[in-house]
Amino acid sequence: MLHLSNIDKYYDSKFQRTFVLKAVNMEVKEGDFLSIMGPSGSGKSTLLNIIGLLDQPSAGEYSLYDKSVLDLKEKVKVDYHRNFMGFIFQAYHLIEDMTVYENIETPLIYKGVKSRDRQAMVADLLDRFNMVAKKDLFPQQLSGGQQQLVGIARAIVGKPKLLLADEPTGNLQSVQGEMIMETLKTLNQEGMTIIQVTHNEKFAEYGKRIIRLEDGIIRKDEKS
Amino acid sequence: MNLHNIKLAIRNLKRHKLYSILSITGFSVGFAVCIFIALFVYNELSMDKCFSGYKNIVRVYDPKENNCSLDILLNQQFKEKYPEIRYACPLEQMSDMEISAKSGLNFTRFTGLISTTNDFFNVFPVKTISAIGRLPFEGKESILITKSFAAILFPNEDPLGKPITIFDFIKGQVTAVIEDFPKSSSIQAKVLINAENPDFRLSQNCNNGRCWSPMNHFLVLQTKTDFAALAKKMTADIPKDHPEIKTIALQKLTDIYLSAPINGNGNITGNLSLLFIFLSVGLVVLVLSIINFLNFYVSLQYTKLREIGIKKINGASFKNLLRFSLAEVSVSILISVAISLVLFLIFLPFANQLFERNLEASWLLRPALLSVLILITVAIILINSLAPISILSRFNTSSFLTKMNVGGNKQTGRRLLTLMQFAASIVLLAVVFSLQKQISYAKHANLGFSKEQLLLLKLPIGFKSQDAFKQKIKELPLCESVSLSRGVPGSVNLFMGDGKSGKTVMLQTLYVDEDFFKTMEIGLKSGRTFLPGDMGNACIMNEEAVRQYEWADFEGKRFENGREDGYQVVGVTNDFHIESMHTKIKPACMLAAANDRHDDLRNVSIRLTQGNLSQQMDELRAVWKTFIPDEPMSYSFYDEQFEVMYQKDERLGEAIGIASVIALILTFMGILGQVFQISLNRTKEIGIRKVNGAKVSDILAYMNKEFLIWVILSIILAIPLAIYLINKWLESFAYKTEIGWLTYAFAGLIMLTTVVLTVTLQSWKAATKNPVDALRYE
Repeated sequence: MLHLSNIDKYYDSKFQRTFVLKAVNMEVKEGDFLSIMGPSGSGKSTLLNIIGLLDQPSAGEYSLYDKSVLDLKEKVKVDYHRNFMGFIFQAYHLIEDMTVYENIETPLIYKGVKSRDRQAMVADLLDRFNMVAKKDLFPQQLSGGQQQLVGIARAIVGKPKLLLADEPTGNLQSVQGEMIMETLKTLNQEGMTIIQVTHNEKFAEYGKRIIRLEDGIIRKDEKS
Repeated sequence: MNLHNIKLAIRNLKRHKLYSILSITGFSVGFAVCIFIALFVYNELSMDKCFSGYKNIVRVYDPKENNCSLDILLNQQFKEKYPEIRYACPLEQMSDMEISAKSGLNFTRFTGLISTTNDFFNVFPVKTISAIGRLPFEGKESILITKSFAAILFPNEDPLGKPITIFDFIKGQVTAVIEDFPKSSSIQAKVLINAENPDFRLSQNCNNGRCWSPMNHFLVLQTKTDFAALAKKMTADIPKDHPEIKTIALQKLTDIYLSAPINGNGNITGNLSLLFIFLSVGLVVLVLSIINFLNFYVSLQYTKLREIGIKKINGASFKNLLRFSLAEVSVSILISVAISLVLFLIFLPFANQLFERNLEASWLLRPALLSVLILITVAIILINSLAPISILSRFNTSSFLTKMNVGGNKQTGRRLLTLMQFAASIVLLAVVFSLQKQISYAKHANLGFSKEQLLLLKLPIGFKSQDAFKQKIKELPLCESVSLSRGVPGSVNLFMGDGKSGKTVMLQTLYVDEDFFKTMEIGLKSGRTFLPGDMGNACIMNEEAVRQYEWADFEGKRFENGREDGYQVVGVTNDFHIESMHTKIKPACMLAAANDRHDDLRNVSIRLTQGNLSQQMDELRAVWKTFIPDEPMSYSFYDEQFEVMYQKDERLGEAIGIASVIALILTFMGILGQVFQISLNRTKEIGIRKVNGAKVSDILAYMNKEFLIWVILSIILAIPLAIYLINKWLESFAYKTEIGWLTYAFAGLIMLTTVVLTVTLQSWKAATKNPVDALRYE
């Protein structure tokens, strides 16, 4: 479903060109669970941002379902964000002014889902993640693991095909981290394609496939 | 969807309390000022529109002579000769003078006397409440009074048919009571007298042996009359029988109020330049408050960059963000508008005093005003919600999430707005200081005579025992010196020219007795004061008169005014002020009044000894009562009389003073918000600096430095503008004080202090924070 070929990302300063990604080739199939690993500064997050249409590659080709998604108009990009992919982050990135319920509801509002349908969809997820009692709390009143659950709920409430996770367990204790990874695994088993960036060898193993990046170059691409 | 946005917006307001309070109060104040100015302008522009058919009402005037007082006989001609004219009425007004009115034992003074005919009611539909006959004016001696005046002069009585005396010499009877004139009419009167009666006309002009009663002429024209064509037709006809009239033109009734007054005008006039001053001051305050709001809102957006990024990732389009921003701004602005309406209601009486108008809150509901205010509100909401979003949508989504201080330093646009705020505040401050300096100079300047402890009594017209009255006062212990005169410094209405000598110089003329110079303490430059033998045949001039006559020496000169036998010039006084500092001292002549002609000398100036003033006043009242039992004593103090001349200037100073205080507060709040945002953005930077050994004072200096550059720039920008505006205003004064660079420096200094204080106070918190806390942040 997703095809990257010869992706470069670099920054030009006066006298030199610094490469963050170099000649990255990658293919992701529907139903895949991909872990991207690598030390700090190896370009993992940049790669994920490019996949998530949050950043532009400096050179190369990127297509989704054989359709190039480079140089998209803002409107089309918004459409992809609304209907095709969901994001989760290391810092959760919940909106602090909104309750748990409202945070999860946000993407549906932007999608234009009707109020009654929204209620049903959010209630479903709250139920699934055992958070019904916490729906009126604000993010800062929850533990890190719970906040990340809300983050996942928000990412998947719009039923995206692709879930992008940027170090989803980076701020969590290992027990909570495992819980999050189990959740992702279940989602993958239900058919969702997932790409995660992680530092943690153990959590990378949850993926069906691990890509190892070093200095912007793919060193290894192996089934786990 | 929108309900959802509004809910979030209100929650946001509650979360950022400081921001909300500062931005909302700031804007409320600005908008309240805007409402006041809008109301004031509305009032000025809707003057005389209270009369139905105002569009067809015009006043006849002679543009060549700049005169609108034309022969009353024209009225007949207007009515008969021109089919374009539906109605015409002659009208003579006395609107700036206190006039006495008597009926039996009742006595009062009023302003606003009109001499006119029954035609008046065709042109100006003022309703008659009750009348003796069919028409308001019935009979030559008929006098009309307004309802409110009737209540004063005839409390609990029916005024109809009662005798009434105006001015001692207009004696008639009340034939009708009419409604009060509408407040928004530029013609105001309490008493109307019948101009059909030649004795009831207030003035007379003569030329080449032909005399006429000058009147204003108001016409109601047929709809769709071509004004210019009619005026042309009249210009062809009228000057034939009236050689004193050169050309005829027609002035719309609604244009009279704001135009420069034509000679002979009796209508109340507004002041176009004052209107522009208020309008521009109001606009400045409104713009300042919008800038303030924008500053706060944009900096709030910068603290919420991450939130905007999250929303974008979750599928928010530009439209979604804009809608939210609109909801957020609308909530704040609408709350502000509500608060400003409350402020408006609270300060309305005060503003009415300041403007000297009768503005009414209910006018806000009139369509013209309401739609303007709604339009302004909508425009402000749009500006404020579009600007920040268009700034923010420039940033790349992923940078929202990673770099926390995006755009922290690159805010030239906002800094320019701040620069404008600083400059406007400095200009307003400098103008206020200069205004005060000049007004205080004008009030305390040496007038050439001593105005302290000097009292003026005004004897009624027709009073004859001046000498006995003076003698009685002279005997009182309170009297140091007393003098009779016609005309005194502060009010001289007599001008005379010299008929014989080669140069025509118009002199302000006073008839005085021998004690005048001693009482007023006017110094003599050369010559002598009057001796007993001089009365009726000598005069003393001021320096300016000698200068204009270009006399090397006054010795042997005579002043031939053509009425009496001429006056020998016996002395020259130092120049002294008869009028306010606005006008240059004019040539003046003090004529020694003949001993048998003291009837005209109705001004009694008394130099008081030190003592209990209220006791002195009681003694004076007792003397007055023995001579003039019917009328209460009419008096004023010279120093007060001269201070009143600067009331308009003082009111202007007060209005600009208030505006500058508001501007200063707004600017203060604006800086507060910016410093708050900067210190928030740079928490980390400040932490790093501290870890590397920066002291608190270093950080404060560093934070201040940036603002100081802008303050200095704004001072450089503001001072030329301030100098220009002040000089423009000072042009209205013939005698002015040196404003000096200190005034401008002081205005700049105040701004500088405000900025340094605010920046220091606000960044103190950031500077004293433990750097560990600051650096732990992500």
